[in-house]
Amino acid sequence: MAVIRDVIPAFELFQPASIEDAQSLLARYGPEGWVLAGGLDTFDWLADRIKRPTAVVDLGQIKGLSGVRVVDGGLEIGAMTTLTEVVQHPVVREKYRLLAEAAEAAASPQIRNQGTIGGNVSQDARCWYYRAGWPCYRAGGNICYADTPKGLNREHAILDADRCVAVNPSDTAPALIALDAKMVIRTPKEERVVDAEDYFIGPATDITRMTVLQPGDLLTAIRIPSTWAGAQFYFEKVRDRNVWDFALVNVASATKVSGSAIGDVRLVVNGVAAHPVRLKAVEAAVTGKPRNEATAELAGQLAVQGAQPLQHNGYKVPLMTNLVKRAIRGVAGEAA
Amino acid sequence: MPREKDLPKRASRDPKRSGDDLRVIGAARRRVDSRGKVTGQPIYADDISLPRMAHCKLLRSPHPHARIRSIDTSRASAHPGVYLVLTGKDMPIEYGILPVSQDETALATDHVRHVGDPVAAVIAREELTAFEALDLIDVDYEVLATISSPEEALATPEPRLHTYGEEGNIHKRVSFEFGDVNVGFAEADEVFEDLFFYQGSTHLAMEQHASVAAKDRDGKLTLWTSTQVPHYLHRSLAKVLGMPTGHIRVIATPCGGGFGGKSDPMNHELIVSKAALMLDRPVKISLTREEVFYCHRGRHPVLMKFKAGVKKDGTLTALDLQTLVDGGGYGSFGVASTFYTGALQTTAYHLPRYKFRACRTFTNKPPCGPKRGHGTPQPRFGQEVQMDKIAERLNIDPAELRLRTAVKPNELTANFLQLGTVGLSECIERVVAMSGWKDKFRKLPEGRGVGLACSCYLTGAGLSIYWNQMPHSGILLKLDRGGGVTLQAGTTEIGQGSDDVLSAIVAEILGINTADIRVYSGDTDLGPVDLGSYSSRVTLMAGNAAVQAAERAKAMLAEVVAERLEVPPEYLVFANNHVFDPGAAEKKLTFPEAICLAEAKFGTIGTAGSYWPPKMPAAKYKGGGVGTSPTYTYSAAIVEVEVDPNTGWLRVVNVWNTHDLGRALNPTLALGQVEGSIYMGLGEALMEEQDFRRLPKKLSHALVHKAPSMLDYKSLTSLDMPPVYTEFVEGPDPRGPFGAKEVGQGPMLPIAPAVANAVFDAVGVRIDEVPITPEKILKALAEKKAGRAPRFGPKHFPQIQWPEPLRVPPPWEGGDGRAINDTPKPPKPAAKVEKVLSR
Repeated sequence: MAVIRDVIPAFELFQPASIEDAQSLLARYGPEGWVLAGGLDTFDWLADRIKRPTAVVDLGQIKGLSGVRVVDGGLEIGAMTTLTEVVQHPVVREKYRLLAEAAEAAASPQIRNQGTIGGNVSQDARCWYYRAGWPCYRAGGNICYADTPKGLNREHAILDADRCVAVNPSDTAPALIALDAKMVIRTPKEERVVDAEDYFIGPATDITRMTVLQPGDLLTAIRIPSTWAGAQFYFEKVRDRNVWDFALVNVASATKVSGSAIGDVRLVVNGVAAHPVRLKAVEAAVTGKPRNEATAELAGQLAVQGAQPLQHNGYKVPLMTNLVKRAIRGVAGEAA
Repeated sequence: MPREKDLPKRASRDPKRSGDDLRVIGAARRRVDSRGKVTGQPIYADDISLPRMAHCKLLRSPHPHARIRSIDTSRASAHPGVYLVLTGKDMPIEYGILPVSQDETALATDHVRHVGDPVAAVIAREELTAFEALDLIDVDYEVLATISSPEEALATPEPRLHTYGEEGNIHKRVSFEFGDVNVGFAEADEVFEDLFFYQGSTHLAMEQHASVAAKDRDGKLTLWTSTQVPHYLHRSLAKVLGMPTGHIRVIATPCGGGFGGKSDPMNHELIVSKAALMLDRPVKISLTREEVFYCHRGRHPVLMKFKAGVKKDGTLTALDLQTLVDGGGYGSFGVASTFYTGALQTTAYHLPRYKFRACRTFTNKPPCGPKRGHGTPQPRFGQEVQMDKIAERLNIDPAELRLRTAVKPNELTANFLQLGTVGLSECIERVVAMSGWKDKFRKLPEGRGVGLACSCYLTGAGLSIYWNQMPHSGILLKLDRGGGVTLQAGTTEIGQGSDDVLSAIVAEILGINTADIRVYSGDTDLGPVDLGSYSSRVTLMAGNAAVQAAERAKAMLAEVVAERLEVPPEYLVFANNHVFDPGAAEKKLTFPEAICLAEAKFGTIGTAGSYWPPKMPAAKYKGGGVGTSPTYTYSAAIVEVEVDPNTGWLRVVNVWNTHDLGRALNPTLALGQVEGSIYMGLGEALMEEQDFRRLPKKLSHALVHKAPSMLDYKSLTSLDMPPVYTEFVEGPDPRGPFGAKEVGQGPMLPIAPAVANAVFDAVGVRIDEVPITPEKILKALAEKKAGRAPRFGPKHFPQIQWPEPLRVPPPWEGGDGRAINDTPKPPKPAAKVEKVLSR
């Protein structure tokens, strides 16, 4: 563990003008290369001297990676679009308000001006042992420091842990899954599109990565289909303080109501596992049910089935229950 | 200007008091240094850049506890751009803020005691070069067993962190008994035993420490540095560098917050000074945020056991308090902090018998020291939460219980602290009225609650850190023929507004505007000694010295003006830049005219003022000096919270508070101090933790500091501050300048216990430790549901081998302030104390 940080070691900076150039640079440098989007996650790693790439490939000069476009009745958001642009975009606000709310809950105004939506969904795991450079499972070692009797783990996972108990703290990720977004990925060979739900992976799949992106792959855009435009949305984020803080738990839902019953619903929680958790069992259970307290109760109980809290994060279980209940009710604010 | 409606309501406790004739004092004003500050003009230490300046970086220990077998600096020294590499052997003289704890060296000589302990320094042309060269220093460490907690320290006498101290890894034990507590417990109707834990926290000043040292043309040293204590630093520099203080000038640069974190002489200050002298070049160091976490000197984590005897009517019969203090790797202020974990338990509520035992241990963590409230927030938390439990059990309203037991003005306490004015009852009455307490307490719906707590704090430590008979503060005034006044002070403006307060005092007395006064402070060459900005001492002590200096100048002016106007000097009024006889409109001179007359008669007009705290004859027992103060302030706070019983989620809804500050010299500044205190108190109550965890035994067993960054060390943001409602309770204290007492620390103390008490009112569980987090509330709620004691908190206080207590009979048992079982010390020479100034 480095003991004095805050000074970024020297690296070579590339600012390619095309995706092809970016990928050839990444191919050339291999594990010594690093992709830079908004820099928020990057500069923490570099200033802490935990990651020491020799070449940094800045995507900021590639035309077409930034901006929000209306496509096929839905939206295509360039991966380099800042969170502020997402928040302020009129169509996002009008039809996909869920995403605007989620993006606006991230970090602080200054960080949202700089941070990108691609970076927000692709950020690395949150665990202060991992981030401090301790050689844990995720860092290639053979121990999890957080999941020990004296470990500090109040921010950590209650679901789907496998050796590593770190969480994905992204705020936009659950909103994008709820909106059934598609992630456009450029591999060195081809362009492929994956569902947002499948973009995120857990430690059981690959403990060193958070997404399906392989080295050399780039996320170029996020497409939001019109399927859920104008649905009833619910987003809520619980954090220790009201700004500049990661979610302890957040919830995003999109609901279509038919009559007084829930017609179709997508419900996603983050901050509880290494990937956003889509609650399919809850979705199935509440579909067709009236939007009332009994349904909310059912959903809340079902949501946390299988939860395995650690020593200091048991509070996340009722917190998640409550957020899911609120999402089903569709209204915030009630204490219970 | 601040709007009147934004300022706190101010209640005078003395309706007869005059003082409305004051023009500067008591008026809400912009502070004198505001223009520069809001336009970004102060030159902070990190802004200083001098020709030929070199940069310093420190190599810090990655191990919490290790012996240094060897250090090889040859590769670093040979690195291009490196001027100098220093190690412990280059400056082996030990120093420390307290004479009894000279246990630090600027760089480790052979032993590192916490992660971040400095081992070597590189001085290079560029900062980055210095940084790179750190990697070229080869240190061979022999890793030692680490001690992570006081309990471990008690159980692990070897290896010792230090060779001094009491024994093993116990740094200091203190033990007192003021009256037989067993008699008190026998008289009690109920006896309460409660355990509390107060977590450590750090200061989190916005400005990171930075220093620049330079060798002057004549070979002397100047050090510009962000410090609260230029005088004590001055002394440590002289000791470590082996130079007379007259050859060293310390300039305290504008300070972006101290809160106690800049009250020790710091290793980096000594290192750049040494390097500047050796290289004959200016040398600068700017610590990173992470390094500031390693410097620390913050709040001591304290485990406490309170045993209180109470009669049915709420009268306290005895208190037996034990504290176990986690000191970290060095002494710092720790001996004083240890005394403070019990010194002020007698100053809020009348305690007829009091037993106090405290133990500070060394642990392999950054050293703890003074943070706002210095050693007293921890036991204040315990005492105030216990008072709430007592009120609950006895079915007495907590406000009423406190009113019944509040100390009286000028009381001499069981441990022989001489109180001054006491506004505690007024504070309680007013905070109860302004918050609507009577309609809320135990009446709000489930999940909402209010909690009350009070506090008491010193207005300046009664004793200097090193024994001497000289004044604690001095002020020089020079009056210019044109009417300008130069004020030279040794005080340190750390943002609290000391320059403003001193200007206001002088302006008030001389009848001029603060704009006509120029203040030079924080410079050991220009100003007389002031002990520093700590213990809430500056307004009272330097303020009184300013009163004396200004009164002396005024007397000279009055004499010459009286002669010229042919009126008795006592008729003269100094106001509006004039000296005049209010009875005769034509009899007046301008202030500059008065100065010219005076200068013609007396020569250069310069005066000096000094301040000594009142002699403290009361506490004559050994250790009785800690806790003494010219006078004490009182606070009361009511916090309203919302707790979600399902998730334990806690939100602070409102804070009401009252503070007995004697007189608000500038209400704008006083309000800033109160709100800042509440902000800091809420941070400690809700989330701040200087937290460490031990790794599992099969892994190195090393002690890990939770990521030392402002992202992971959480403190409140402006969006997290609840509405704060403040009222000042004013009753001028004759010991303070214009009656002023402290306001910088006291208002913080009741916040954490008030939050804990409010959580109990909201959901019926006791959280007997801070920070109070949702997971702790949830665990306590689970206990309650299971039919067990509805609380979360420590469950065990270790057995400590206490020394025989010093037995000091309290005043009401005929005690004279001496211990009856102590070996008498030879009497100290009589102090050459001037009559203490009072207005």
